[in-house]
Amino acid sequence: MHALRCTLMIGLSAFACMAQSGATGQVQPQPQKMEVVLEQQVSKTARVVNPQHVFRTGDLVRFRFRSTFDGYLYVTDQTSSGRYLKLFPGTKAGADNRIVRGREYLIPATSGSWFRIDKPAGYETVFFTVTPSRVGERVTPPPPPVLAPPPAQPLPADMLPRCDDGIFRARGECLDDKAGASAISPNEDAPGGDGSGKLTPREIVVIRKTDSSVIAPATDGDAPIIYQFRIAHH
Amino acid sequence: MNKLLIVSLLFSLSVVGARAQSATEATPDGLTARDAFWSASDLVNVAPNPAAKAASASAPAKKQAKTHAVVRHKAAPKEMDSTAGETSNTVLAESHRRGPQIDPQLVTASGYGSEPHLVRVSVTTSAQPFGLRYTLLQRQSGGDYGEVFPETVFHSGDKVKLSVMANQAGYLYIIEQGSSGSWVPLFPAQNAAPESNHVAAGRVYLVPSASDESFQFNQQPGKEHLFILLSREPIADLDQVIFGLQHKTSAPAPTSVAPASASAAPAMLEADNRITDALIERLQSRDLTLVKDTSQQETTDAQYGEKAIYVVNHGKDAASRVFSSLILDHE
Repeated sequence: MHALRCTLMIGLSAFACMAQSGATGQVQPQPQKMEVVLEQQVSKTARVVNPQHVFRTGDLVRFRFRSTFDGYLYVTDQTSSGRYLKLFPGTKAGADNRIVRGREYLIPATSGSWFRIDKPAGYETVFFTVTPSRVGERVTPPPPPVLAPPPAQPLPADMLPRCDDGIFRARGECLDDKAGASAISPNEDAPGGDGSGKLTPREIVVIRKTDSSVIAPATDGDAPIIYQFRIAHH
Repeated sequence: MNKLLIVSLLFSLSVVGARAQSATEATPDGLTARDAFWSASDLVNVAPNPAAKAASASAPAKKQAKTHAVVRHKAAPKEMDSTAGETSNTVLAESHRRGPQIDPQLVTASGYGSEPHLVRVSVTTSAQPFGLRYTLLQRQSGGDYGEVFPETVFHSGDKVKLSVMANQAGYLYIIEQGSSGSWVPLFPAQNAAPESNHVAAGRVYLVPSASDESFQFNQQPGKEHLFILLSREPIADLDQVIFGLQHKTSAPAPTSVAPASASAAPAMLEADNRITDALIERLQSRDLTLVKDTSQQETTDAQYGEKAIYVVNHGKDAASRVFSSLILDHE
């Protein structure tokens, strides 16, 4: 993996539910959408941060995920070598990746687990794939072994995250317009749910907010929903 | 994001008018969205145009009116029954059904160009044209902000603000769609108080509001899409509105009549000089009524003495909305 390391993996059991706020009542039919919140550990507590926040080496982050529909979630990290490393589900993170509408999930799953931002500076791209059925039931090839990434090379200066003071950018916080959730362009590589085969994603709508990202399918169908979340760090 | 700045110096009032017009109808007798906007009975006071301080402070109303008297004049307000949608002399006598109306000279004196041609509308709020006036303000070398045409080509480092006025009370929302296709709600701020985006009739709201804040174009050329939405009622789920925008701007033209349930949706109007006929056709459905009033046609500097975009919704639905999109070109 390039710069995103999962710390305190012990105890990372079933990825499944962490908090279940609002899940006990009768769920009203809602349009399909999901929300991802990026959290940073500050003074041993979780603090919601702007998805475009530029982190520093050593910062600890995690994702909080919630959807209005049932499905299966796959989280994949793209290494600096271009290979995809499956973050979830996995043997340590748990194999049960089913998500239930209205429930909140943490990635990593347990309360003591965070991703650590490591060198070198750049962008860490994490792919979220949500499918209506388990990908393993449809895609039979096992995931290939993950090769050790080559030694990381420093990025050119113009490819490093920078505090964006451009149009419509709030003041006071170092934000990078390239960071946060976004759709995958047609020419862009995207991982399959299990990090092996390629899937054809649905068109999506991405709404960037100051403390969360909302993603929704723009079309009907059973095709997977795939989007990327770029974490910027110095 | 930013608190609203209310520029308040209010002026005097006068009497109202009435108008009803299908959104897709041609404007009768040259009546424009601008005229309809200024005809609302809630709009009896108006704050001075912050981008036209010199005009409002020094230029007499008569002089301004004369300067821009090419098209507009001080003819008696046209009398139109808002429910019938046609001229009706009988309505003139029913003054108790009318509300006040702004003095056209006040419009000019306050820095909003030539005197509008007012029409009479019912005092029933939902029957009046629900309108939005907005301009793009660019920071000048001296530090002041002046109105510029939306089709201005901006350059890196240029700083702009939006100046927005409603002719009736409502709730303002501003959404940006970036070049990546992602949507960003700009206003109100995500964690703002529930009423923080409430706007009053005739007041000017600057976004961003703080005097030392502005939108600045960065180093990356491209087009910034802004969507400005004014709603009579607060919108509980702005995400749904954005999803609708995405669908309507990317969906193919409808080939059949929209389902009946769609008729319950609030009517919207959109005015943008860059909106193509094809896009308007795609946007048209039973829940949408559109007019193609453009900033160029409506508010060229020579014609009206201002560089504003007026968007008016004649829908009678209490939940009516006014919607406009704006593309800022940046090279």
